[in-house]
Amino acid sequence: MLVGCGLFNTDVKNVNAVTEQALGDPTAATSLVNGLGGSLQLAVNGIVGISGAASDELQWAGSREYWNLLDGGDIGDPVNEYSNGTYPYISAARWQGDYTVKTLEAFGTKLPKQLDLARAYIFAGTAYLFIGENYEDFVIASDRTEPAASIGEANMRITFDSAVAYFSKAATLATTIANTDLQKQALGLRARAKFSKAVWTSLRAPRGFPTAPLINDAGATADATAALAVMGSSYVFKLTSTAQNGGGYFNTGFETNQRLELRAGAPYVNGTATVVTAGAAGIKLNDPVTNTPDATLAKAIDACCRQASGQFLGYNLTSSREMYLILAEAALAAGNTTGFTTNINLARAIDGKPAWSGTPAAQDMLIHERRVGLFLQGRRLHDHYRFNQPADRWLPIRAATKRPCFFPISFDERTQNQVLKAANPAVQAQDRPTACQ
Amino acid sequence: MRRVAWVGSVLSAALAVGLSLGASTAQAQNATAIIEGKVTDGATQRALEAVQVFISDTRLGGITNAQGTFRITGVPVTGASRAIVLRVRALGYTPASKPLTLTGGQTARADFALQTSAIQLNQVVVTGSGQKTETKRLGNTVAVIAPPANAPINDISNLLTAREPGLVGVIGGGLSGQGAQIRIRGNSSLSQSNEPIIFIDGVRMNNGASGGGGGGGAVTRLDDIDPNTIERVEVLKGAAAATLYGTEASNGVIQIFTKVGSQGAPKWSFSAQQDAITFPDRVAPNTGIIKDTTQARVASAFYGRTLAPFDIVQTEVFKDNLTETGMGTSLSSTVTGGGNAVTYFASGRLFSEDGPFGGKQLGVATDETRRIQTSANLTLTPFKNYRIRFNNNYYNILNKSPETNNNIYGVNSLAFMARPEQANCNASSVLSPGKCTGAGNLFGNQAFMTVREAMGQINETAVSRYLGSLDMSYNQTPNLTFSGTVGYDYTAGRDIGFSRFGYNVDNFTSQTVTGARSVFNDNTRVATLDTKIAYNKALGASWSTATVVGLQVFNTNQKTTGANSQAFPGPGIEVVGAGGTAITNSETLLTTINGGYFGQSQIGWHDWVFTTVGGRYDFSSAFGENSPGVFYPKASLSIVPSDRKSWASTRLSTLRFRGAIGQSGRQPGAFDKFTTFQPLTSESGAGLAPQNLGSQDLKPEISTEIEGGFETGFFDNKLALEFTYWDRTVRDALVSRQFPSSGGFRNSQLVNIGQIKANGLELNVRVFPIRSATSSLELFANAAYLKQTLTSLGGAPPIKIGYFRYRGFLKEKAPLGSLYEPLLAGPCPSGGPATNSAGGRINCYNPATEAPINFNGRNSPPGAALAPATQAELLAYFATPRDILNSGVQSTLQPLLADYQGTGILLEQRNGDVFPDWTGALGGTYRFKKNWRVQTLFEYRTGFKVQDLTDGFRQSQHPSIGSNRIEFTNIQRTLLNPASTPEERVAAATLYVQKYRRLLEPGLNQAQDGTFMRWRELALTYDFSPTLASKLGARTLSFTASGRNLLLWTKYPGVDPEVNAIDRTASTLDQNFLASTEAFGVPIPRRFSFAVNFGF
Repeated sequence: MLVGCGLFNTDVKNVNAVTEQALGDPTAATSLVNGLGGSLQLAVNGIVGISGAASDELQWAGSREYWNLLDGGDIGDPVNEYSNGTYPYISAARWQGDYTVKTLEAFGTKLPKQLDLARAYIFAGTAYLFIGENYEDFVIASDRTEPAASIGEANMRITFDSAVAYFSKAATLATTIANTDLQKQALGLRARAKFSKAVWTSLRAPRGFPTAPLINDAGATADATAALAVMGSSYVFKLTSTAQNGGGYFNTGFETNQRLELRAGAPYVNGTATVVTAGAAGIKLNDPVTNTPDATLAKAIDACCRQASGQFLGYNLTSSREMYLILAEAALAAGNTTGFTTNINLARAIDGKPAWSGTPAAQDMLIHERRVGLFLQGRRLHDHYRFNQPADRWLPIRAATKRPCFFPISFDERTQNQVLKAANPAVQAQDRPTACQ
Repeated sequence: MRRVAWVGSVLSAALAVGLSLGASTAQAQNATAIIEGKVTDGATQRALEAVQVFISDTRLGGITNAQGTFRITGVPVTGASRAIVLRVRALGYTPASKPLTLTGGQTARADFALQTSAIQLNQVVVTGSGQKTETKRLGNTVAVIAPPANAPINDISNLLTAREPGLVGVIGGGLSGQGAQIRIRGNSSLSQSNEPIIFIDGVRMNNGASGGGGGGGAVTRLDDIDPNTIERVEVLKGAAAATLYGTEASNGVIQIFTKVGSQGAPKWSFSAQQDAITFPDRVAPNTGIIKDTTQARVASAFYGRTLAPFDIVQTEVFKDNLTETGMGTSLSSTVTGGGNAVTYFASGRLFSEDGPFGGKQLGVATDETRRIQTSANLTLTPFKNYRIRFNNNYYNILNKSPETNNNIYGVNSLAFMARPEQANCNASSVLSPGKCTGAGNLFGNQAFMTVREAMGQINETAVSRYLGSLDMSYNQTPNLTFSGTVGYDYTAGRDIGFSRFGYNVDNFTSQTVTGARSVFNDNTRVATLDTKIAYNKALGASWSTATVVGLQVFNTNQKTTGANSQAFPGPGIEVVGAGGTAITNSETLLTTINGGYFGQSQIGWHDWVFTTVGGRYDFSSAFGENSPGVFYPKASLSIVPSDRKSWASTRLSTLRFRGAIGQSGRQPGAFDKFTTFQPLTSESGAGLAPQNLGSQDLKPEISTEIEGGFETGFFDNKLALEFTYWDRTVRDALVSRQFPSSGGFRNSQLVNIGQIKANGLELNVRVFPIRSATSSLELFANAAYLKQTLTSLGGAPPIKIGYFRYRGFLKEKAPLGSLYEPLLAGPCPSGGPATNSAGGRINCYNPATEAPINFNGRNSPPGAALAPATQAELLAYFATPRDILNSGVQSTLQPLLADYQGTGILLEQRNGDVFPDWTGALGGTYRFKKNWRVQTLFEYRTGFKVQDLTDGFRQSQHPSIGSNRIEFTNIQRTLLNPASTPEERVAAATLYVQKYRRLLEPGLNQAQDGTFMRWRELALTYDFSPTLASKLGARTLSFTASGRNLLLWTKYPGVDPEVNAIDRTASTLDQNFLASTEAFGVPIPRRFSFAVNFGF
């Protein structure tokens, strides 16, 4: 008599998630790509935070010392809770990118929207790009429960190659489906990836502060030029966090504007220990041309680092400004003053700043425009290193003042990945990478 | 699934047939007799209430009333007369019996004067045996906790704690209503809940918690129950005893039995209790030094006295501003009565408390609890062998709490961290010393928010709950009983966190200054179906059998919804829908079904040797529809030589040996075996991201427990000694394994790869040294030893538990709950540095010429020997004053750490564990001058470490918060003051590294010995004599003055070694292994109560 009673029915459905089997249906493609975008956003949110704290862009003002240790230039500590906590998010985004691309490519003609595949290429490539720009070494061959060894510090350049490959596929597909917005993203990101690979080479092959830091990479220049042709003068492609997708291990916007663990760095802003002074008075860094608070920085600070900025920040992945800066730097490296002037002033014009006409020196102008134009986009650490300009809070005993050093494979990955441990038996999980000692 | 339904149908049909047969056969009765009598205490002649009186070998019986009298009607008499044996059982007394000859239509009388007994082998228990059974027949222990009369117990957590060896309550904190985690014999699971499963009158109850997740203190569903309605609590401590409960029972079973009605005219009882509650003075004052003339000027103006650089300022922010004498009121009433066919019991209680957390002058946050608890049950006996009981309980619970525990917006944490030298009225002006005309920083907060702003945040948890059951039994013959229980526990919970628009009254915080609100609704239903058939029969003069088979099903359905928002458009709005930013919502739906068939057969020989075998076959939704079930076997042996007819010793009046072995389990979560993707929204729309790796081979972990022991009673059972040794192995332990995130899945995955071994001792001594008409004394002491080791993680890497500043790890071969922290190098042995087990050097220093400081982190590359700083180096460095709050100075004074254990990881040296080796209690009851009673209880725990994170901040070099206990302040002043000498500074720096350098190397100097003894209860009661009570118009009357948590003896330097920031709403892993974590909670308060109890 109890047969019909639901009390006995052990066949219980999970309505809170989907099984992987369900993802075999091509109609799941859009959800997979959106999820990949969400995972990438979580990762970028974290990387921008730790990179900002390690550079002079953000400084510690709260209770948790590992921000302070990043502030002081101890970048290579695998135990650091913030870099350790960020690693799984970028790892997951990397895996999910490859998984999503593979899944969507396998759908072939059954894929309802080729746009989804192009977006998957963009997101997957961006994950590799951030890995290359920010990590000493990385594990990219693991799959689910099967761990793999890291690719090795000397081979990290291949992450840029992977990024470029994905962006190239995205660009091709964007052209095929005539999607201009995707073309802007793909070309802009590919230019960034090629530029960053060149930076990587200048800092790490061999390791050191380069005597000729300016980048003039033909591929990056060509892509930047092509990108600008479709972008126009003020394009920005950004990932924006939302209330439903606000943070991974931490949320840089929350840390900066609500919890107040971090504040925009002292070289940039005025304020109390935790809060930036309201209005223009809060901007400390002047435009070297006008010697007044920099308008580009003011916009960036408004967007990221005031209470009114909120906790859900957007992070630029590529932009017209960055293309101008790539072109300006290439021109400067090539001794093309005209080219430099043209492009640096195009970048300055975005925020209505008057043209540069020779003062300060061109390289200083470039450094400044990169500093304010790419503020809190994960680029400043590279510039500290390649122009050998230590951050204001780096302690003399920390590695960052001695040589370029990037974020390590995390403590958790080292303890959990037995293949990695077996490959480097002499290295303990808490040991800093050689470059960061 | 068909198999389940088929067997369930058979059992249920058998029960129905049995019950219907009962209705027909029960009518065929002959002449009847009545038995009347009175039961008293043999020493005091005091009438004993609620004593079971029954006719041997039948189910006929009654219960005594408040006058000790009983009446059993309708006793069948076939023929001219019937010879029976009337038996009496009462908790705390030796059972008694009398032969009687009954004649139809007449009334027989039997009075009993019971003798107290320190041992209770004839006590009847139900839990774990399937039917009523004397404890002497069971080879496993079944603890019975009877609520002590008039003890200061306001909730079930208090009732359970310190009554039974091996049963420990881990209290969240000292705010009103904060509940406890319950642990029995430690932890038997690495990843699943280690809470025992709890039944109330046979119904599985929701034993969840609420409140803490929002930042406030957590309350537990266990404390919804009115302690005044409890008759007794039976406790099964582990798998050997709890096998019949199957999956989920490996951490033991607690069954609460509520009071039932007794025959007679309505008897009312009332109780009114008033409590006063205060925090003990356990929070160290806030201190700081004036650093410069600017600060001196501001502080002088603020405090209204002249302060100069390097003066020490001291305030008591918590004690002087956030404490009050809390007041609590408890009003309760019960009524019981009935006739032959119907008895009833009803109760109601209103418990209302405004706890000792104060600060009403600062803001609206408060700690309050209100419990409305009602119960009513009806017992119907329509036919002699047919009983139906209908239980109804309704609870309405409200708890309010400030933000607390490890929480940067917690009122306590901000009070503890405030630096008095930084207090100011810079945002307004000084009104009077220490007060501002408007916005200000009254206590010197340096980050996050001011205490006053934190007091603008509130947390509320409200619960409406119905718990009911229908319980039926039918004795078709004296040997055959059908019984069944259907239960329903529905909890509608609502948690709210709220800060109003503009609560930032000091213009300090930037946290959601335009207001925020979170709402979380949890609707949980637990349905129980339990049917049993018991057959008991004597096989000749020597043998007896008792057999039971049954089916149990528990169906849990949980539906949650939640919403959050920030930024209200204006003041006065208090609804989540009004928020303009950070808007989120959530919903989860979860159904879990567990059930199983059980059977047990017991064979007795000459009523002193008993052996039992049984088992349970379980099914669960977590195993999947097509997976096989799991079988858990059990066996036990009980030998009671003192029950042999030839036993005549009164010195050794009772002797029993027992042993049991059994299995139980814990199943994984409902969907852990599947590879799943979870929703992850991005700005481009709804999406999916990896969630569970999945494992198709997932199965329950199996706990096998062996226990053995003895009970002895000496001198006519005036002295009793109980001893139990138990040993537990958990195989296929579910490990929450974190696979490398490079594989794409950030979440851990359950896998059956672990093994845990544990063992322990339990000792209990009880003695009645004085027993007379006017006075009596009962003393007891108990102790439990616990050792538990993670013997295998199946090759998985160590698992870090929780927040990075908590230093708990699960590592193979280590005791559960182990802490891993950096350990400072010690003085070198005479022969030079020692070597560790791995052959590595153990860093050390020469105390005459060196200090345990690794100057500037030199020689820090991996594997290098760290060199201690020399006194000469330090004297040179401290030739000038240094500010220890400066990062550069901290970096220079790095600690010289040592790898004592050869792990190669300086930051992870095992430093004790969080679970006490020994726990126990002692106490007693003294009755004197006939009407006075004193009851007391002390509880102790020893052999464990507390993670003192509160002092991790307060006794450390943190640049912006804390660093404000006098011990550290003195060091800071010495290092900073130009008037101190280099030698003094070096000594201060050395002391700093040895004791007060914290946080920078996570865990350094953090774990502290948590040994304590707490005077848990003291109650003085005056019982009016029945004569005097009746003159005052009452049937019974008593006054009780009592105290709870009166004193604490401990060397622990923090706030309270017993509180735990990891409450019942934390993650399961944290709950399991981060006991003894003190992080900004408040101490457990003292409670002084006065109660009047009367009945008529």
